[in-house]
This record gives sequence, C-alpha cells and structure tokens, in this order.
Amino acid sequence: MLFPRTALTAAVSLTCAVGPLSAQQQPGGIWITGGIGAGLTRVHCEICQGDRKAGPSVQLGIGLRLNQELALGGEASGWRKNEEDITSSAGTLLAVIYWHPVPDKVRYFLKGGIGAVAYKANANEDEDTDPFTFNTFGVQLGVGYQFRLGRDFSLSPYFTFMGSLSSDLEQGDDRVPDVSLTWIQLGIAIGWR
Amino acid sequence: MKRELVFRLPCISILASGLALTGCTTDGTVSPESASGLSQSYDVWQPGPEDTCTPEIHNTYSVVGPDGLLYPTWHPPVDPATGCTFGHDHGRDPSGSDLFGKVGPIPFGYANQILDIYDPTTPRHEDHVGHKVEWENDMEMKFGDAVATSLFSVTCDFLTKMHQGSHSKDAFTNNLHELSYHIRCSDGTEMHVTIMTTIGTPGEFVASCDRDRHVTVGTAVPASSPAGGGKRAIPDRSCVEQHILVGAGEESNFGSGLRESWEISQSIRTESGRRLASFNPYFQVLFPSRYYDPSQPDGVGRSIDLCYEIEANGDLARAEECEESTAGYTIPDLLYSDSRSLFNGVRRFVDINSNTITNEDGPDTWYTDPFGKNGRAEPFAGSIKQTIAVMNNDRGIRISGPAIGRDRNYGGTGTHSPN
Repeated sequence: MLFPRTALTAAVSLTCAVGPLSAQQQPGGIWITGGIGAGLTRVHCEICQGDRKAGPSVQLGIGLRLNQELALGGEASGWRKNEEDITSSAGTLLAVIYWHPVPDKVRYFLKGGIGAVAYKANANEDEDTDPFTFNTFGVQLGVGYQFRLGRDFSLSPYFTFMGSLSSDLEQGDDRVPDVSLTWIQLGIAIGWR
Repeated sequence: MKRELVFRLPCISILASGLALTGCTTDGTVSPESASGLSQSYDVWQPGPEDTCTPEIHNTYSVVGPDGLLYPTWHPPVDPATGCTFGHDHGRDPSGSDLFGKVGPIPFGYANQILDIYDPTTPRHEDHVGHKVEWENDMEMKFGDAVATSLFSVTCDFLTKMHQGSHSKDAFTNNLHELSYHIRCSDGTEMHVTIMTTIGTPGEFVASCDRDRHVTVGTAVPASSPAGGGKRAIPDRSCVEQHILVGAGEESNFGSGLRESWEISQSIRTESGRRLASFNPYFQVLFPSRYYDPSQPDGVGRSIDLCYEIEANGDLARAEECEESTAGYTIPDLLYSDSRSLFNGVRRFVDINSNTITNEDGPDTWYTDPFGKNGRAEPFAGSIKQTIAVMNNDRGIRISGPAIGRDRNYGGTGTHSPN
C-alpha cells in the first residue's frame, strides 16, 4: 500500500487554506502550512533510466512552535507524473524542524526532515501489470523565505531536496535491489500563524 | 590487383596462445602466412554451377584462430574486388559491430576443430555455407512490461555467429552446432563464448507447427552427441500440408508452415557443475530451402517444389514467393539450388532473449570443453577460452533482448541454396 495517497489527497484539498511557520508567533502555538509547486523526482539504481521526471508537487504540514527560532511538526508531501499511460507518484511523511536563524530581521528559514518515503509506478490501463512500489526512509533539507500577510498568515517560496535510503523496488515477486529516490521541490506555501 | 585480406585477429590473442608474433602486421593483425597450419574447415567450399568465384578467392577470406590454424571467415556474397559470386551468404558484415575490435574476424569452425582434440572419436565437421553472422549495436533491452520499460534502461552490443544450415538433412538429426556468442551491456554484463552448442535432442527435431510433436529421424553425428536444452523447430511435411498447401481463397502461411527456429538453452559451467552464465537465443530462418519429408530418400523436401505441387484435393501453394521465384510460373521445374528461388535461407533473425551471468567470484577467463562445460581457470587439452564478466547480473527483474535482423535480407547476386 502506498501511504502518501491519502496524504496527497488531503494536501491537494487543503493546499490553499494553510501556510508555513510564522516566526512572529508565540511559543507553544500551532502552525499549519500548505504548499504547491513543481517536483522533480529521479529513481536511482544500476539499470534505472535515471531521468528526472517533472510533475506537480504538494505539501501539507502541522506542528508546534518551540520558540521564536524553532518549530517542530509533521509534513506530508506528494508528487505525481502521468506520461505515456504510466503514472508515477511519490510521497513522504516526515517529522520536520524549521529554524529561523534571524527571526526578527531576515525571514528566511532552513528546514530539515526525516521520515518515510514511498514511490509507485503503475500502468493506467493495464490491470494485469503489477505496479512497482518502493518504501523506505529519507531525509529532507530545505530553505525558504517568509513574506508576512497580515497578523496570522504568511507566504513562503521554498526549495527542498529529499534523498532516500536504498531499498528494493518491488513488482509482485520481483525485487530490484538498491533503488533510491531523490526529489526536488520548488513551490510556494501559505502559512497560518 | 592486390586483394585486401580480412585477417584481423589481434596479435595479443596470438600472444596469449603462446605463438610467435612474427606474423603480426604493423596494424596489430595477424597475417595468414603466420598460421601454423590449416583447420579442417579451411578450403572446404567448392563452387557450384552458378558460382563464379574460385576456391582461391574464397580462401583469401581467412583468419588465424586462437590455435594458430587458418580458418575461413566472413565474406560478402559477392566478392567486391572481382565481382564474382560465392552463391552463399554469411549474414551481416561483423566489422560494423562495436564488438569487432575486441572479437575480431570470427574463425568459422574453431569449436569444431577443438572438439577434434577434446574427443578425436567424435568429430563434428559442419559445412561452410551454414556459418551465419548477426549483430546489433546499442540494442535497447526489454523489461517485460511498459512500466518497467519506463523505469529501466540497459543497452547492449551483440555479435554472434551460428552455424545454421537450412538446406540439408543435417539439422534433422544433428543437435551440435558451432556458436560464437558475444554480448556487452551497459549494466556490466559481458561474455564472449565459443562452443559447440547442443540444441535439443540428437536424432530428432520438433515440428515447427506443433512443438509438442517430436519427429525422430535417425542417428546424430556424432552418435554420442549430448542432449541439450532448447529445441530445433523445423517444418515437416504435415506443417507444409497444413499451412502452405491450401485451398482456394486462402493464402499460404509461411510463418507457421515453413519457418525454422533453433532455440538454444545453453549454460556455461565449471568442472563442479556450477553455472557461470546462460543464454537462450532463438535463431530463426524464414523461407528455408528445405523441410522434412519422410517420403524422400534423404528425408529432404524442397520448398520450391511446393510451388508446383497440387494435392489431390486441389490444395496448392498460394504465395507471392512462388509467383516471384517462378516468374509467374513461366519457369517450370525450378531447382532448389537455382538462385532465382526465394527459398534460399537468406532471411534470418535472432531473438536475443536472456543473458544471465553468475560469475561473481570470477575469474573472467575460463577454459571449458567444446560444449561449454567443465570450466577451469587453466587451459587443458581440447579446451576453449571463454570470457565472462566477474559479476552476478541478476537485477531482480527479467531483462531480455529484442529480435534483430528481421528486416534484413542477406542475399546477394547469385545467392542460392545450399546456403
């Protein structure tokens, strides 16, 4: 089962309603963020084509502020590409930490995440062909800049890079070993508080 | 006019075999004069009534083999220097292969020659015209389904020489045929193998139109030929009657009724029986000049004769190939060996299929018996050097090669059966 499907659906539906961490808010408060943009994914292995595939990418997060500089939370991201009757999708479910190095002056932030990564490729109109699936763990690093939109909202362009650990890419009983995924996201997020 | 000969076996190969380098030319090739003798396959071709080349011209297409003997090698159907015709083809010019620099000209009959050393009591000498070369550069391998194809990519260079005579009774019983097999892929898969491959059961073949039907014909040469995997699917009279000789309103189906498929299932193994590599190419011939007809004295039915045959029920061959061969039936009683017959075995293709290497412990050089078995790290009497990459190329997914050569016609002016 590919867990990000649910997260992807939720993220898409909530994308325009939420936003990234606001460093102006008080510690202990909740933050919610949702972003949309473009994603480039690449599947790596010895016999993989190795081309980067571009598709829409979304993310959804919620968490707590620890102080003016740090915030913790959980984020789900989704990516999808439909090409020549093959649908590829990827998702992450990460624990993330945001760091605002200079919270009162320069509103850029750095971001790190760690968690589960999943990938799936399936034929759109061939039910007899098993999908390729891939589940592992990964690390995400990112950077963004926060523009304030009033007291509670912000708008943040962001860039993230995610790299996964190697795992098996499975299709039925077949397993292609030592497969990993990299995923670049470039998007803009709306944040609340 | 001085002819340019095609002896290009790298000197380093001769060095490895322990021979002197006195015959090496300045471009690193070996001149025929340096050969220590003649192989059994050299100088066996004789021109037929239609062939205008002499044996002397034919013999200039030669190469010194790893054993230092002189062997025939590839040549075009028409000699470019003189314009004379040989009447037979050897497939695709191997010099265009990306593997040619490593493999060099292929000595025809080398494995047969080594078999004479390995077991002098069981010689297997094959005719000259049956040696067929095929190759392809930068082949995209296949992955079984569209999803896998979208994810993975492996390209290979492939060069092979198979002895596949499709004109005589030989393959009705004989399952031992010389195979030179070379593949190099982007995923590191690489092997260079020369063997007497064992295709199916000696003494019989399977009907091409019904693979479950085994047709027992006689005793193989040599009688001790070991059974192998795969099969030789060859049309017989019942296939012809079912698919070629048809009623009014039908068309002859040559794909089902008159096509040969020699399906190899070969492994290379160590002395202990451990598998080092395996491959299973299918060598196919369209419009061969023969089929098996037990009513004939030698069991050989001639395809061209079908064009003139009318069964008692009125069934006959209804095909463009018959029309074209006989010029609209204006040529009566065309002989199978006439170059006007399109049933001459020049249309061939190879299904590459799977190539498996399980040689992760190495070394990359093995010496096997002529059947690809009893592999050792050191040479022995009657052994053939095989090169297999040190790897295990199991990717967890089925990778197979495409069919190559299907759109090619290797015939030339004057090409005819026997070919």
